[in-house]
Amino acid sequence: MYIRRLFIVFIISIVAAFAAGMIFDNIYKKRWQTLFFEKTDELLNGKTNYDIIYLGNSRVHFAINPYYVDSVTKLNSYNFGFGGADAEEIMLTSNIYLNQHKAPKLVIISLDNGALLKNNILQTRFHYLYFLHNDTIKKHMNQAGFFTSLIKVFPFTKYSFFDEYNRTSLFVKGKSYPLFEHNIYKGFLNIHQHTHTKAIGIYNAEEESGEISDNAIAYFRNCITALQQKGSMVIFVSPPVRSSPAKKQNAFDKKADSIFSSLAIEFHLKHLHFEDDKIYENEYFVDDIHFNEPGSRLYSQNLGDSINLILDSILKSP
Amino acid sequence: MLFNSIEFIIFFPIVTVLYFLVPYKFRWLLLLLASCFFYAAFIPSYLLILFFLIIIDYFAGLLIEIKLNKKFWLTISIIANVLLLGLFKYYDFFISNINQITGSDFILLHWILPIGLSFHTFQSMSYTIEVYRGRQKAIRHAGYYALYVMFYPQLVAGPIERPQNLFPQFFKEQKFSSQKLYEGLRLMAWGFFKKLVIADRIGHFSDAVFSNPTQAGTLTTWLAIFFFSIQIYADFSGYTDIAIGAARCMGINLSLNFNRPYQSANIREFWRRWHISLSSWFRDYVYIPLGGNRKGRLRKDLNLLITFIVSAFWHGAGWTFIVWGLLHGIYTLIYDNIKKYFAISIPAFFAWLLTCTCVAFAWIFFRASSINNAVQIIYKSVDFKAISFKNILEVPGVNIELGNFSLAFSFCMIAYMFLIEKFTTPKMFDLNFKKNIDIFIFSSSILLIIFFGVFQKSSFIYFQF
Repeated sequence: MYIRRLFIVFIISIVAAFAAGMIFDNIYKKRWQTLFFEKTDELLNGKTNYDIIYLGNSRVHFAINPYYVDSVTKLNSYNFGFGGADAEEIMLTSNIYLNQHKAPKLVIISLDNGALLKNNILQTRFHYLYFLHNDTIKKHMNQAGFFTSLIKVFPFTKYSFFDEYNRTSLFVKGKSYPLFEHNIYKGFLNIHQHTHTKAIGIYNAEEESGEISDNAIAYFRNCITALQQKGSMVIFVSPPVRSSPAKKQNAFDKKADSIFSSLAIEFHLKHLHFEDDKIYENEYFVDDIHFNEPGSRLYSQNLGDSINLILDSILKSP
Repeated sequence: MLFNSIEFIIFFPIVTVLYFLVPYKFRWLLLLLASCFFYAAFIPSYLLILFFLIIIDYFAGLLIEIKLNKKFWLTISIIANVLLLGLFKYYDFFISNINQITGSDFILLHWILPIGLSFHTFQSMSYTIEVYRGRQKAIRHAGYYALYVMFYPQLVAGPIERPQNLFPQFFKEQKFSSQKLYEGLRLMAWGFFKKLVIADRIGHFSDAVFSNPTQAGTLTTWLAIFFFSIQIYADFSGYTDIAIGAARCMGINLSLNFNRPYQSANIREFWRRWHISLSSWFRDYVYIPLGGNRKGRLRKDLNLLITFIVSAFWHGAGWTFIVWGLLHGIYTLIYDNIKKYFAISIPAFFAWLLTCTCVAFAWIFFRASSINNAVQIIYKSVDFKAISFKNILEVPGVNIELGNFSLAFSFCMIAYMFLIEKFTTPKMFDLNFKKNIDIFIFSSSILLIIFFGVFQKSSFIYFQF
């Protein structure tokens, strides 16, 4: 009798968990569609082969608008930046793209010293748990500590791994993104139409005591090697920062900069430096490192011009 | 090994299935090996301390029974246990206080306290004392005795078992019972729900406030005190439910440790319902031997205070614990005297509210890292000028914010827990006769754990004792 009752409890729990899991999947995907799911879908299932792809963190995601770059270069590009992306996620994005698409002509990797820190951003990238049918994602998420095989069999168990913030997002309606100009376009997103510069200096504040991760350097190497083997040209970009008293280089930054310079030399990469460009005035920033929409527009157009110059020089070279 | 770990989710069914598969005469060995494995998952070398304790008390038991110098062997056993506890738990506390008072510079040990040492030393001592009192025969089989000390479900945080309860169950061949398995799993699910869905969720917030009281507002501090009062109950009683449930699956009944303590109408009742196995240990082995209530009123009050202070000291080597114990001692004395000399009848609701408030106030000292920290929390909680409903969920100093949803959800879960516990018996056996409610509670516990459990491998609060 009790075995029967145990069986009933088990069946009810499993059926209810599957049903609740499906509802939650739907809600979560809608909630994070613009930030994560749209571009991950494009990575995995998109049919378009882009000429240029942009890789990096929020300084790509909210800064490089393909609309303006494309209008200058007359090429087709897509923004695959993910806020907070570290070296591993940049490599993961690049690998998935190469597996699903024809190699792009150009790959712009936006550099951020934070990508070299000993973090594991994938531990908080819950949206990848919805794409475990992809072996590359499954492998990386497994390394990040998720029980991917269990989640594949019982998809609802992914919610056991969620942090409080993401779990809450299932029940709290997110802010809707205002639409203006081309502020949401091919992976790019920027909601700051006007200047909202904050007076706090946050630049590098968290990285003062940071430790360079050897794994992160290896991920960059692997990523560049794979792209170059497929015939893509890789360009490093150091994005603009607000002129701020807080913009002082500490030991970590100096070391990180030298690592990126060494990588550029090692792989013969062009390295575009925008970080000291004086045309990016304070009014273009919402904080020390992130642009508002007019700032991103200016930066994207300038980036487009720089890409054109590089492409021209290649065409002209013997 | 933590109950709330993937290792335990694998370990538990394997051990339970093997328990019924191996022949009865080898079950003690299986459980003993499993218990060693369970304990070794924390710090393997600390198994040696347990073995030392087992050897001392095993032989002490045998020698006491011979009745040759039995007092001497009991003293040896108690000294060995107390010395071990003293070295690991109290040495640094005493020496640092002596250093502070006298300006001396005695060396501190800084040893890591073996998990659950206070629990298994007390369980071990209860064996030798019971043998001394002639209420328990000395165990000849060293393996069974080792199992009594090390039985994995209650090894690290109790319930502190008496030999009369555990040994007969070890010696009896437990047949597989689907009913016991069901009851055990149901109680385990309930324990996990309390730990993972309630304690670990709200603990995050109260930890932040207690570690940074100057940054919190008055209402935020109240919320943190309330949350800690719930957290410690959900955490410890949750652990106990898992322990009792795990043992129940193997047919072994562990003692009741919590009997809905927050339903108590007075402080005496609270202590009859909270951590019952420890309270009864102190009653039987400290309070009564001191004279209990047989040597006059003044002596009885003194015995009571001593027992509470020793009990507080058992919890931890720190002045905060001593104040906590002293507060409970004073509460009890006030209650006893009011009851005796004044015929005051407080309406049930207010009696309950007063009891809970007093208990929550004492928890401040239990949780605080120092007396100064406790005073800061108390100061903040009565700083009525700083009462504001704005930013009540925010603890700026540690950058932690409890969202409105998390707050509402936490309150719902707390209410759900108390509602279910109000209408069920502590081990939930009465649910057997209410099939639909039973299935609902069991299934909902599982679902809530899956979707809302906080799986961050956080330890149980009482492991530190």
